[in-house]
Formats: sequence, structure tokens, C-alpha cells
Amino acid sequence: MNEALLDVQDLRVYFPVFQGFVQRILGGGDVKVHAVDGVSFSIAEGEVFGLVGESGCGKSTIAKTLVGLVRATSGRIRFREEDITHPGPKALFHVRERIQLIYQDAHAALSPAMTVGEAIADVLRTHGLATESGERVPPKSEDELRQAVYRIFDDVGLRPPVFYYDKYPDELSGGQKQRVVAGRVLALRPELIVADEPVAMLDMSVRARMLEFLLELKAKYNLTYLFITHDLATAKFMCDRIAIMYLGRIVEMGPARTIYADPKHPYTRALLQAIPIPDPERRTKKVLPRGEVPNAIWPPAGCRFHPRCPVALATCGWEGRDVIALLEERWLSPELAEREALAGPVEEWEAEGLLARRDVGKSDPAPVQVLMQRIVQETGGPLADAIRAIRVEGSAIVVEFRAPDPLVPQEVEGRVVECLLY
Amino acid sequence: MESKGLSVTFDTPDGPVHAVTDVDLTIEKGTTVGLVGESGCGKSTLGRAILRLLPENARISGTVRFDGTDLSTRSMIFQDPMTRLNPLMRIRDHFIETIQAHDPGVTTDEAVSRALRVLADVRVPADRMNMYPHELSGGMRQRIMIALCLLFKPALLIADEPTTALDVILEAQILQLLQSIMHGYNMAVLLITHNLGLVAEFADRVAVMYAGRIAEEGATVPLFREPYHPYTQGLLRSVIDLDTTKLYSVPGAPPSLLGDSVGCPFYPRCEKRMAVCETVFPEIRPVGEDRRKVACHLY
Amino acid sequence: MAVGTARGRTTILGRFVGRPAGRLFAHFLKESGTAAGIIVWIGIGIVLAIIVMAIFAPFLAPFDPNTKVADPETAPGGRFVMGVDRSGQDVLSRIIWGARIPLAIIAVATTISLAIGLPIGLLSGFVGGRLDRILVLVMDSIYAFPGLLLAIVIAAIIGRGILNISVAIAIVYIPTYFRIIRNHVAAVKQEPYVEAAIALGMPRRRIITRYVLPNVAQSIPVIFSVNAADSVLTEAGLTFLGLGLPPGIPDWGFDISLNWQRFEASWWATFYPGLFILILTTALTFVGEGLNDILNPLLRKKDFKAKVEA
Repeated sequence: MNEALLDVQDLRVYFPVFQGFVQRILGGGDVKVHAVDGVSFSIAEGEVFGLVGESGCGKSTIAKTLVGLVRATSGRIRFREEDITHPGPKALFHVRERIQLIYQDAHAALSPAMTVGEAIADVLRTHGLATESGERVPPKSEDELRQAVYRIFDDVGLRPPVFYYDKYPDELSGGQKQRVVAGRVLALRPELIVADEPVAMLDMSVRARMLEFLLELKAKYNLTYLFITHDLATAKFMCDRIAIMYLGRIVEMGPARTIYADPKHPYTRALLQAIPIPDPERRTKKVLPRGEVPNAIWPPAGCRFHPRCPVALATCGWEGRDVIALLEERWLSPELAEREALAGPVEEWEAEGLLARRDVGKSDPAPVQVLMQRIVQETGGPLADAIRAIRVEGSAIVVEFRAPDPLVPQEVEGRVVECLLY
Repeated sequence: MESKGLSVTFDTPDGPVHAVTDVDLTIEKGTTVGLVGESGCGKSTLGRAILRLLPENARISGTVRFDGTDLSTRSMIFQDPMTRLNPLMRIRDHFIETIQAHDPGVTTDEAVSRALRVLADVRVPADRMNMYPHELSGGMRQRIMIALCLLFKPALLIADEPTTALDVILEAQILQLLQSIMHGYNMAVLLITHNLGLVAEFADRVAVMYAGRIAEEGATVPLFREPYHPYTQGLLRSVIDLDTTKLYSVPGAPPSLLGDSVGCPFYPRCEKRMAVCETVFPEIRPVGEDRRKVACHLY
Repeated sequence: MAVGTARGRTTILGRFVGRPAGRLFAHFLKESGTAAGIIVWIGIGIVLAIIVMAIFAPFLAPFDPNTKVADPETAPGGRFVMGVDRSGQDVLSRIIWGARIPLAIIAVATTISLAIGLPIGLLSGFVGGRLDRILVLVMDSIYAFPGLLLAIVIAAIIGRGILNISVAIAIVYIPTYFRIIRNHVAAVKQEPYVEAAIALGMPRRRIITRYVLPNVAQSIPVIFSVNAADSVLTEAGLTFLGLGLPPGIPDWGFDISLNWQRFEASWWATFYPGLFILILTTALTFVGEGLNDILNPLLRKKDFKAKVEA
């Protein structure tokens, strides 16, 4: 029976942004990077749960938070009914015997001044050797320790173990180092392993080997994996359930098969479409989202994907910033920029939440208002529909948006999606 | 561009490293060629050799010729845009400096307007000119790098792993951008990458490199449909895509490029090897149609 | 592969110094043929020669250094290879015996500097925060003082005696160890393998001694040598000013102070002590700079290999 091994509720991890003294006085308020902004999921024992997303979406932050390298700002993390959100030092020590992390860059994860045998031995010395009954006892002698390390080398396929014990990391290949890192983690006999992009730095022709290795380990040691990657193809192969992340939130989550067969969230669809297929006879015209992932300090309002979403609605979270971005993109064409110079330049516009304002000073605001109305009408689309009014306030033109609809995760056809389309 | 017998050897404290050996590569005007291989196969070195951007301890032999005007410019974009842009200079200064280095007579204003035109081609807003590299997003920096390359209307753009540091959607966007630019500038592109999917989507012809040599070369569609060289076959089999149901890796590891070697470099890992492969190196020769070339004793 | 018995030692020294030090040493030997390697060997050779000279002074010196053996200010020649000073003492003998004090003082001083500077630098770099800021401030203040001046002040305060001079010199050089180690530690702290060690539950002390220190250790021999070289000059300066020694003990710096006013009459009595100070300093500098060239490229080369393979 599969109980939830790990349960995460509304996890938020914010990092303070280092601001100079003067900036703080001028900018005002606390500025934070919203790396993880309200994420909830649970992992069942024995499954491979995938966390998929592009860089900056927060997946690595979640990995570090689970292992205690980063402190959760709020929310709750539970491991088998035990709350481990803010563990004290002793509790943390024991959490680490149950949840461990495999790194993307195996070479960087190993101290260059230590042999790989020593690296594993050190872990055993600190935590003790695992016995049959599941307890941990300190090793009785150097020899016993060494034998334990040999067994681990053997388990991860580094044979003969005696040969590898005294090797330094720079004497090994990428795949071998990754096995050492795995062995080091296994020395703790964890139940849950968080694998953060374990094959991203390996060549394609050897990735399969590493993935097979990870699956072997899982079978042998009854492991549960949280598999973090940006590669949807690998995730499809490896994972039972996946969660797609975007800018600190999960946008779609459910059984892998269900999601890949019929992705519901526009971002998931975009990701799947963007993957280059190694088959030149299936070249398709791709419809890609506009722009790039915005920074996590000021995430877009409402649904974070709305500025880039090809099927956004008027209620998805349009705000002042979006109209400014619209103007910027519009005026990439020099002719338009010149013709509409009255409303420009872009730098003169200011965004305040649902409003965008441009102060024209002594000039007559009326023509600018008319121009803006025309621009909006020409643009059309959900952004235009979301504008409540373009009016004059004193010496400024103000574009006001309607408030967005609240965004709530919905269960749709066997998975959970956070999108107003559903 | 046409190279014949191009070889690059590095003199290292451990001995000579033959990064590139005997490469004949032809890139026709306005086409894209994908140079595919894994880490250490020499593809980046080859790219740099064409641009004469190699470090001091490199020895080049062989020829590289550019048809048409002899001094037609070539340009290179690098993998990690953050490290290639000077963090202490504003974007506009990058452009001004580059332009004036090439044409000392150009005034600042002329340089700026040329820069703006090129930035519009890569869809970067003008206000980014006054910013510093670290203030911009990764994709923006990559576009600026491309823009810098386009300043002199190069006939050949060499893109060395232009998308590895980025993410899938951004990758696709940059590639779309390159495609649109290619037609506008009538430019040829040499795409150096380990990502077979990119090559399949983007390139007209493909050259597969292994251990410093070209193992197979040909038009993209036939090569993917029916690869001849065992390494190419292995590589295509090991790619994980959305349809993968079974995992495959090529056994073994690439050989060291240190010192001299005998026979086919893929011999230890080849499932179809024969006795002759161990001692005699297979010269690359034309096989079949579509100007396909393979370096393998099977043919 | 056979595991050497020496490596089986479980002491901290054996574990974290033994093997990495062994690797550095092996690399060092390999590089001996290069220009940097030759310089280091020359430097080591000279230093060893001087040490031997000091140890075997009773057998090597032709005369007793404190006894008048000839007419004062006799020129070099005959029995007095380096001449005789204004007190009638044989300069050569005084040179030979005079090596002991500088070597002793430097040995003690650099050991104290290392013993204090290293741990404080480690701690400060790793722990960071307010402690780090305060220590950096203190150390930078000490560092800002011209070395000799500071040594003079300290020596004047704590008084005469070999140990006291050593302490004075040690204090002057502690900030150098501190700064270099601390900066190196602060950099290493950011490395993924330190983060990995934390994630594996390693206690802090272990992380500092086994993950940070060995990766910082390559800087130490270089600092050590360069510091030693500098200390020679500082020590000579102190004894020259008469700040250190109980009278009657030969010392190069002291000898200069005795004889420099008579330079025109008996230049040899000033020249030779000065020359030997120069030789020892230069030899130690050779060792330091040469080691720097050898040990640091070792790291750079490893980085280079990793990047080339990418």
C-alpha cells in the first residue's frame, strides 16, 4: 500500500535580494526572489516523481530545501507524518539519513583533495554503518570501514573496488564520478533520493547507461525518486508522475502518461512542442510563446504565464506592465516608433499594479489618449479586452485594467491544472 | 567554405593531442551544416580552427578556403553569452567598439545607427543599448551576441553550442531567429552541437565527428533515415526522445586523443567491427547517393 | 592497486595532509626539470646549505667568533678569508656562527604565524558574518603598518630576547596568512562539494578540516616561504637597531650595526653579513615563487582538462 512518503504543502521559498543602502532607501520595501511560490505535491513510496521545468522555475530550490540546504520561508514539509519543515540540528542530521541529493555536476560535488574512497568512508564515519536491523553503528576498525566502502563501490558498479578506492576525482570519467556520488549518497541508505538533473552533463550516448543505473538502484534499494530535469523526453521515460513548474508554481501535475498524451496547460504544450525531434522528416512549424521567462522578483500577476501564453484570456492577470511590454514590442519597428512618438518613449511609462501611467507634463494629454486607444484597438486580443479604461488624470494618461479572476488548481481528466481555461 | 585535410594538434605537457585530424568539410553558400559529436570529439576545435581562433599551443595543417571574395567575413557566436560580453561595458559600447575596430573611420553616431538596425533584426528593443550585460536576460544576451556577429554581413556564421545553456523554449526561439536571419542575410551557418534534435530541425547537411575525424557526412534527411557509420547508428539509437521506450547506450568511452593511434578510432566500441578495423584506418569515401561520405571499412 | 602502509595512519595529519601533500609533492618532483623547478631546487639548496653551516658551526668556523684573533680591520686574505672586523674578530667565523640566530628566529616566527594565522583565517573565512568582519578589520589594520616599523614597536614593548623578537616578527606576518587563507576559504566555501558535504550531514568542524583545509592547503607553502624571506629582512633590521639580542651573540644584522660606520676602512665586515642576508632572503624567495609557479598551475591544469572535455 502506497502511503505518501513526502508531502509538501504550500511551500514558499523566498530569497532576499541584496540591495545597496541607497537603493533600499529609494526603492523602498523588501525585495525578494520568489523562487518557490506556493507549491504543493506529494510523493508516494516507490514512485519516480518528476519535477520538470526550465531553469529558474524553482525546481533546484525545492531540491535544496528538501535536503535542508535552504530554509523554507513558509509552508509545510512532511516526511512520513513527521514535520521536517524547520528541523533542529539533530533532527536535520536524521532527515539527511532519509532524504539525499544527487547532483547535476558530479565532478564539482567531490572534493578534489580527497580520494573517492575517502569521500565515502567519511560519510560512513560520520553516520555509522547500517546494520541489518536498520540501526547505525560506528565502525569497529579501519578495515571494517574499508570493506564497507568496497561493498558500496561494488553496488554502484565500480569494480574492482580496490582499484577505485585511492583514485582522485580528476582521474575518473563523468559517468564514474556520478556513480561515486550515488554511492556516497547510498551509504546513508536513504529512502528518498532527489536527483537534480543527473544526466544533463553527460553525453547523449552514455545517458541511457546512467538512467538504467538509477533504475537498478531504485529496484535494489527500494528507493523513491524525485527526479528533477528540464528534459521532458527523459522525464517521460523515467517518471510515474510529473509536475510541470513555471516561475515558482506548479502549473500541471499528474500521471506522466496522462499529461504527455494530452497536455492541458498551455505552458506544457509549449514545452512539448519546442523539443527538437531528432527526425528531420517530422519538422513542424512551431508556435512558440513570446518572450522569455520573467524574473522571479516581480512575477506577473494572476497566471504567471499570461504574458507569453498564446491562448490567454482577458481575465488571466493582465496588468500595467503588460501594456508597456506591448508598446516596447510594437515600437521595435522604427516606422511605427516614429509615427507614434507622441505616446513614447517607452521609458516614460510607469507601471503600478493594474495601472500604467504616462505623465505628459505640460503637453496636451488628449491626443495621447486617443493614440493609445487606437493602439489598443489595433492590438486587440485578451490584453485589449482586459482594459477597463484609458483615461486622463491630471497631466497623465492612465491605462486601467480589470482585476483578474482568482487562479485555483482544478482537477481535469485525471490531473491537476492551474489555468483559467478550465 | 571548403577545408581540406584540416588538422589541429595541441602541444601539451603530456604530449601531442590530435584534436582534429584530416577534416574535409564543405559548406555551400546559404546552407546550414550541422557538426555533431560528443564532448571531446573536436567539433569546437574545428570551428575555432576555421576562424583562426586557436590558442598558442595549437598547430594547424591543411587548408581552409573561402570561395568568392577571399576576405569575406566569418563570425562566431559562443555558448555562454555572459562570459563573452564584457561585463564592464554597456551594450552600445560593445557595438561601437566592434564597428570601429573594423572600420576606424566610422563615427559614433553611424555606429549606433548600424547597431540599432542589427538589433531590430534580432528583435531586441533599442532601450537595451544602454544597459550592462548582467542586467539582461540570457536570451537577450544571446540575441545581442548574434547581432554583433551580423554587423559585418558575414557569409558564414559559426554557432558553437548556441543553445546548451538555455532552455527548450528559448532554444527553439533562437533557432527560429537564426533561420529567419539566414534568409535575410544570405548567410551560411555551421551549427556545432551535440544535440541531434537541433541538427535534424535545422541543418541541410550533417557531419558526424568522432575522435577528431569526420565519421559520416551527408544530407540530413537520408542520413537520419539510414545512417551508415556504426557510430552514427549508435548515436541515433541512444537519443532519448518522446517516443523512446527502450534505453540504449553506446558501450565504452571515446578514446584519448593523446599521441598517435592506429586503425579506426571507433573500433573498441563498434558492434560491427572486423579484424581490419583494428589496424587500418578507414579513409572517408563516398558511399551511395546524396553525396554521402562514410569512413568505415564496411563500405 | 596496493595501498601503502604509511597511508593507513588514521591521524588527521596522515589523512588530510598525507595524501594531498603527497600528490603535490609528486607533481612538484615531476616539474623539477622546468625553469620554475630549477629555481626552487636552487633555493632549497642554498637554504639547506646555510642550515648545515649553522648546525656545524663549531666544526666549520676557523676561529671563535667572539675572540679577538688578529689586528682589527685586517683585509681579507691568508687565514682570514673574509677579513677581520673592527673588534679583531674573524668575519668568516662570525658569518658562520651568525647564521644560527636568524634561522632560529625565522623558524620560530613563521611557525607561530602559521599556527595562529591559519586557524583564524580558516574560521573567519568559513563562519563569515560579524566575526569575519571584525577579524578582517583587525588584520587589515595590522597589515597596513610597515612591517619593520611594527616589529620595532612590538619589540620595544615586549623587550629583548630571541623569543620576544620571534613573537614580534610573528605578529607582523599573521595578517598575511590570515588574508590569503581567509579569502581562499571564502571561495572554497561556495564550491558545490562543500554544499554536498553539508547535505550529507557532515558536522561543521569536519567540513572545515577535511573539505576546506585540504583544498586551501596549496597556498600555504608559498606563503610560508615568502614570509620566511621577508622575516629575514625584518630580523636583520631589528638586530641592526640593537633591539633584539643579548650582547655577544653573533648575528648578521647585528654585525652590520657594529661595523657599518667603519665601511670605508673595513668594508668587508659590513659587506659579508649583508651579502648573506641577501642570499638567504633570495633563496627563500626562490623557493616561494618557484613553488607558486608549480603548485598553482597544477590547479589550473585540472580546471583546463575539465573544461576541454566539456
